[in-house]
Amino acid sequence: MVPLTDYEDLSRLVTPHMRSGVMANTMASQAEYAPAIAAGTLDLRDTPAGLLLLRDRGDHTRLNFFLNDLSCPLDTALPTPTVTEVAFRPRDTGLQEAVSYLQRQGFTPVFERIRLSRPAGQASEPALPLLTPGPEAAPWVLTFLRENFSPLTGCLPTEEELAQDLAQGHVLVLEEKGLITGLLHFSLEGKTGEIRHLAVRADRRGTGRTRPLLAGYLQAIAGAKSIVWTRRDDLAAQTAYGRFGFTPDGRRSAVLCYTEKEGI
Amino acid sequence: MKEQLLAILTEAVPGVDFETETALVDDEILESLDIVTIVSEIKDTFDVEITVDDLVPENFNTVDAMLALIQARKD
Repeated sequence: MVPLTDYEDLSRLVTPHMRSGVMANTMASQAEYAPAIAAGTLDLRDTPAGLLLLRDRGDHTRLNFFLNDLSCPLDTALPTPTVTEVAFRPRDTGLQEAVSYLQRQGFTPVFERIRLSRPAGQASEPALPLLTPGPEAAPWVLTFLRENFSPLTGCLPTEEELAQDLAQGHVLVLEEKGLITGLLHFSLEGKTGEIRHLAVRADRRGTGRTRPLLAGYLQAIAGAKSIVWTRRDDLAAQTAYGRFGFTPDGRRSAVLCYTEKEGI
Repeated sequence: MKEQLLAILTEAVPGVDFETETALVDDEILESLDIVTIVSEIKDTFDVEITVDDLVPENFNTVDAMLALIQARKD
């Protein structure tokens, strides 16, 4: 484990790994990593196979990497469970090899995702009224997210991260009698919106809750270009997104989990 | 310098008209892996040091921005 006190330490260690042939699933940006360094939850390991960035997320660890030699074992004891996601385009053969490599190192495929994209363009008004709760609603919203997404693979935000997103109006809620019946959580980077979570409460599914959430989202991002990652086997979600103009854009990802008790 | 940079970009991501694009990162024409590849080639070709801190969209959205970054690191 390499001790880190600030982002400059990380930058100094990652920069030499930005070289030809390196397979990376992160840009190690300041926005992404500075909070983890400040919180003391980033564990950085320099291994014979490459650099590993392990972020403690409480109930699991997220792995990002800069791998440069897939003939070497990782040769480090990973915490369990450790989850990683490798996204790639058809031409990114190196990253596809990295997925196979991680499986040889003991990671198990959990599921695959595909990315859907929608070009810029307006949508209709939402047919149901939506709330945009403020940061004080973070515990309320997080409870709903935890009820509807896996803690390991659901990319759940921390309460602090969620409060920031709420403050920016990036969570849309359908509510009945104080209970959330549907929710859409998104980000807006540059000119592209990304749906991070979309869920309808189990007893309200099939009642047309998804449409107003998606319409409200497209309105919130002013019809900007939009992307969403969805499970490859979730045809119902793909159909719902398809109604709003989302189509597969060729990008895929593999979600992998390491759960062995022994190190590798 | 511009011709060398265009050669690097075309090699990394074929089929893009780099001279006319104005949002290479924001429009996801260049992705993380592309940028790592491009940065490694820029470092070797122009003998400049580019760090992770430099990997922000503003530095890679246009050819001119990349040229400015290279020039700044040379100075």
